[in-house]
Amino acid sequence: MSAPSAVPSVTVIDYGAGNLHSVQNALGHLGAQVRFATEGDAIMGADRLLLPGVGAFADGMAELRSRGFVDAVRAFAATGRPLMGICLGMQFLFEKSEEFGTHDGLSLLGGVVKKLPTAPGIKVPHVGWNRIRPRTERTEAEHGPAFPGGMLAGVSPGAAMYFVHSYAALPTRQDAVLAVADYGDAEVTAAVAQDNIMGCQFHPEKSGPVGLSIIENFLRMLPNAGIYRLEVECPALCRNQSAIRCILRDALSLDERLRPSYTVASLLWLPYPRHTRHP
Amino acid sequence: MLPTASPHASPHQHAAEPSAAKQGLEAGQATPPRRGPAPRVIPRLDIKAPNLVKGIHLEGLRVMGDPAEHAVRYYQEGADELLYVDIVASLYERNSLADLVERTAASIFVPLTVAGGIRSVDDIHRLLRAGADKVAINTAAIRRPELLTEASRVFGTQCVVLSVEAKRIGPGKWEAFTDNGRERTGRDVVEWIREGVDRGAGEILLTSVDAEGTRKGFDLALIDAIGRHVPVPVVASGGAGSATHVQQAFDHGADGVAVAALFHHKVLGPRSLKQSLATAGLPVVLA
Repeated sequence: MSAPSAVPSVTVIDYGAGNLHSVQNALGHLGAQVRFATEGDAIMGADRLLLPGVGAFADGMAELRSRGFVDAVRAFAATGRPLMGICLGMQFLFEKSEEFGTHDGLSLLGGVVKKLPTAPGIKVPHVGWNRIRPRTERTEAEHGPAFPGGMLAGVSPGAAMYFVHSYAALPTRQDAVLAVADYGDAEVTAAVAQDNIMGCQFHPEKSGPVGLSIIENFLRMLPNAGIYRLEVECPALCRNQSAIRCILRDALSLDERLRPSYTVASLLWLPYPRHTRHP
Repeated sequence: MLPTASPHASPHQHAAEPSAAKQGLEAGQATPPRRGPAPRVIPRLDIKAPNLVKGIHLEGLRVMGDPAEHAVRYYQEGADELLYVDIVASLYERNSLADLVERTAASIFVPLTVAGGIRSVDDIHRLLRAGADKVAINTAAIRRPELLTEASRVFGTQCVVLSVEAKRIGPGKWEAFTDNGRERTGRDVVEWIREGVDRGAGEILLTSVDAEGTRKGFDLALIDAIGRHVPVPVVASGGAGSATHVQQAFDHGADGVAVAALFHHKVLGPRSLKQSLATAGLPVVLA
């Protein structure tokens, strides 16, 4: 474990739906310290945040909203700490879903969630073990025989994961798509990652040892250093959520190649006294 | 009662006869190699608390040991999913597997389906909370088909498995039974499954009462009649006695196959079975 603390801690969002037991069992098996958050205020101190989900998009978002999670998760994501969505939890990260009408998501990732295309011989929901692979455009020369690091580090293309879903995300940014699964003629978005925000459509907690290794990768992830440092060093500033969100929005909207250095630099130049309420 | 008693019950006969056409597969619509989920191998654990048991035609039970121990071993040996069936639950009208589910879910990281005596949305809630991913419903759905709709609205169709015990009553004709093949329902299996899917079942657990426990092969005509004709996955159960039998079930349109005696008697394990299937060209998942 490369984490500074021997026991990685993770906060799991409990919005009253979904089967948290499976996720809890998997996290427990991996030795993580698990906290459950039933309202938005409870997540701001989390080291990493897991957003599970089973059920319908609109109901789930309504629950997230009523418990104050929508703004809280967005603010958490802006701190640069790792956020992972599973299944419906991944779909929440996008802008909209077309499941039973059109409903707004968390808009942390660009794109929409649409119904899987049906075709002869193709059964929907997409249930069962399906193989994941990088997108065709990503040639082997580009990333080698394995997935790039991050959430899928150590997972071989062709590994099978357990899927249960009828809707799938269509991300705007193709480079956010880490892995897809073939379903009929469709390429189903299987895993996404953009900076500290990631998700998988399959259930890693139900995908055997390889699935567990994906969760383990998430547990080893550390916060985006620059932003996290600011929060540690300037807690007073970080309590001013609207200020920090404006700054971060500006920083994060930059071209991603410039982003890391710009983010750190801009934060260090903030016109706030760094010593204020220093811990 | 034995499958050989009926002229149409020998699996070898089913394999030989071009029953697909008879059963209504559209002419010329050969099944292309499907790009989608891998064929699933699912150890089936019939449980009469606190024991794992195995019968023949769902009767004449023999104690096989501790279900939790078997379940964990099957997971470690590469099972794609596990199926727990409380086989006396309907008699006592309750499912007693929540404890077992809870105990094993902490060390089994593949989907877990629980069957037997599930009668209400509350029952389902209890089992899901204990760690189950899906529930399979037979008797209660026959009595009150609306339960399938209610359950799928609350938990999603993927969570609701319609369990059907099919007993051959004539050539190409099966009747749905309940209570481990003891009680007739008067419902035609094909019709009942169609209705069940319309009402919200997201998967079918199709058990052949005739083939169950015989280890003489699946009722392939039954799988032909259902497998590719419903828009949801079909798990065939009953009769697995060799890797070839399991392969036949997949070839005839099963999306998953439940295996009991073959595993419990250690003739094969999930991994060795899947290796045989892979050698035979099936795209099973080898972990």
